[in-house]
Amino acid sequence: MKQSKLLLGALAISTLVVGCPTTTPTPDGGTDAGMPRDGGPDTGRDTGGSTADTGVDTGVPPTDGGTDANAMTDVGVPVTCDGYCTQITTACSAHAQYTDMAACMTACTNAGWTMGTQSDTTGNTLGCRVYHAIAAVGNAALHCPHAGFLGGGVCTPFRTDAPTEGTPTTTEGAYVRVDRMGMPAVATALIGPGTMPATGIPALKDAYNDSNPTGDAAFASGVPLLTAIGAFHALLDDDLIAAHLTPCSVSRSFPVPGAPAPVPACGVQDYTGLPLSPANTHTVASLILPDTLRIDPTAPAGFPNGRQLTDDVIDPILSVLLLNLSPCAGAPTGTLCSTHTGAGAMAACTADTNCTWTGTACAPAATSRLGQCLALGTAGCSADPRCTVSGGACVTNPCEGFPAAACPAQTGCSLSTCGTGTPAPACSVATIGGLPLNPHANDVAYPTPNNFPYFLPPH
Amino acid sequence: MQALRPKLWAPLVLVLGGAGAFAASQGAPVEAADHNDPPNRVHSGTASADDRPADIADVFAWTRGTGASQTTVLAMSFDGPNTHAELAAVPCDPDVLYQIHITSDFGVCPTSVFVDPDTYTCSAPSSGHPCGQYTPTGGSATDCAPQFDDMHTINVRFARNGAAATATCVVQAEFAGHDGAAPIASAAIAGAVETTITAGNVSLFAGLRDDAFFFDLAGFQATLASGTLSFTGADFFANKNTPVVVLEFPTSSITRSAHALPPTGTVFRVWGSTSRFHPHT
Repeated sequence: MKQSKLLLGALAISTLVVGCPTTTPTPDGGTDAGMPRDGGPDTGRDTGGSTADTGVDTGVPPTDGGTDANAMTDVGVPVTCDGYCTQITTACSAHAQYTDMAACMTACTNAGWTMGTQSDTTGNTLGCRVYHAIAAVGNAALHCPHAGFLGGGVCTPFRTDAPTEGTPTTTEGAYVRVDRMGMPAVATALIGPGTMPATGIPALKDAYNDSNPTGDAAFASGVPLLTAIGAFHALLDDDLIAAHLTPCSVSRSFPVPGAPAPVPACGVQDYTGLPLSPANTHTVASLILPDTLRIDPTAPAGFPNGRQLTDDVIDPILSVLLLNLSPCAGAPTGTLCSTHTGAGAMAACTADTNCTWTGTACAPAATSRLGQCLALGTAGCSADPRCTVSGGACVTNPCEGFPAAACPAQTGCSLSTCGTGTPAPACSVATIGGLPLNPHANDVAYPTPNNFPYFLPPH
Repeated sequence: MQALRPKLWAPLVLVLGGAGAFAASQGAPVEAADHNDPPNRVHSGTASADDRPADIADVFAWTRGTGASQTTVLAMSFDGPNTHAELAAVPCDPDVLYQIHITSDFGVCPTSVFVDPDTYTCSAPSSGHPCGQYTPTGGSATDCAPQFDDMHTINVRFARNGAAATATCVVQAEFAGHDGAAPIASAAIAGAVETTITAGNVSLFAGLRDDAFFFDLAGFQATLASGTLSFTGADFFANKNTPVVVLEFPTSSITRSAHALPPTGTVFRVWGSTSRFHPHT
């Protein structure tokens, strides 16, 4: 990355600066006796012509074909809007920078460029533009853009510092990173403000924005991102279940695809809706990290294949983070805590918001569905249709949430245990974008097709 | 102007620390796409300390059409959202560098969580192959790259063209190709804001526009505050604006870099960044 950034800087420098002053004037037979013709010492970088410039402008024009003899009889062009516009209108007639003299005068007056001097070969000054307007007599194609309103990258109003980044305490680059973004909401919602425990990186949010997506795997494998997703689950899983949606599990973190996942772990679900298999892992993890927009030009445009202005992005992102995208094969939360055993059991248990570490084992958290059912006890179990008595305890109803059509096919389930009191949604609801939470249209009707620049005018 | 901007996001605090525990002491405002993030740089509560012009709001990228005539549109918005009373023109900050990066899809490594077995399989690191190898379907094994490859960067800068109060705000986009990728355009493109600037196959626009992002922020906040789904479908971004930079060019001009993996194909990735000029003393 560093190398490419440096290369980038070098490219930018060569694009912006190289070529103009050092090639001024164009080879003209060695009779260059004074560029610029300002009556004063030539302080410039006139390396393209004669070395006989003694510092006194003789007023002899470059022999550039004789097409500009009249223009060159003037030994000085005033560094004024009038002088500038007169010169550029004449010298750049074939490479016009303004529609006419009047347009030039208006632009010059409105700009109020710093005057500078006629020896300014670069910089956003009127003098620089005059310099190049004079030089345009010898090479209009090269110099007229430099003399023009935008300065052609030479008399430029823009910073010409290489677009390289460093830190405030180094001399590595001219710029210091502030913000970055790829996927919507990932950095804002999933990267917290604290310290990343696995690495000790402080100021996580700043560290994330300072880094590049190439390093995003560190944030995926670290605890914070999973913790953030877990926080959403702890808050919303009960509502999702009540809405006949099955949450995905955060207990499996973001494992390498192919790892066993009895319940679809949020991170390794397939967001395309295809069955998850070792050979098909368009995983949620790969959708979110690295934090970029991925575009397949051969596929139809639309989030998550890139992002259009009119695409709803919130529902798809919440869906892939929160939902079991294969609801008919799902399982209630809180049932997998006992699987956190062996080395790393405590860490895995702690990272799983459905579970709590007892000091010796991983048990369902009180906030999990299973924990809530256990708390009801057998006597109160019937009060919550999401719970059922099994094995002498009130546990999660494994049938709850299955749509009516799919319910009877589930082992041990019947319509009475699937919760048919509420019209059951079809399984297809729980696909990417399946959460009907966000407004599905902008407040402004974006026409289709829209025309460049696509964004509608401001309000 | 910015001191008057209401702290629209402040009431919401979602803490993302400690196994899902919630506490108000380590608040991280949860906002929108990327508006007002990172908060301590761009939305600290002390307006004078906030780098609003460098606050990315959204990044958009999409293709239009198919085949040889297909174009790619890239857009980045920043310093938003605002009502017209809060922000009536682009900030025109000459010290902010806006970058849109185009990378290859991603490098492949067995240790990466981003392996896509649809396209290739990976072998573990071994002697002489420190990052392992990948084998495209039907192809032969190739050494993995540790990261995806930068292919293009578009550098956008603003400036006030002159010292007068009437000086025009102008915008410039420069195109850099990396690692053997030919730049999207050979020369910089520049012009006044609020106009469509076209040079060759490239179009550029920078100006104040409708904030295209739509999100029920109030519903989201209420959901997090109450723990109960409370979305109403109201678009918080209605009637708000944001400065935008938009570019469009032929998709075919996104050439691949020498080390892009996979070495062929057309899939690419896009992200944006902002940086502020920092003179070294």
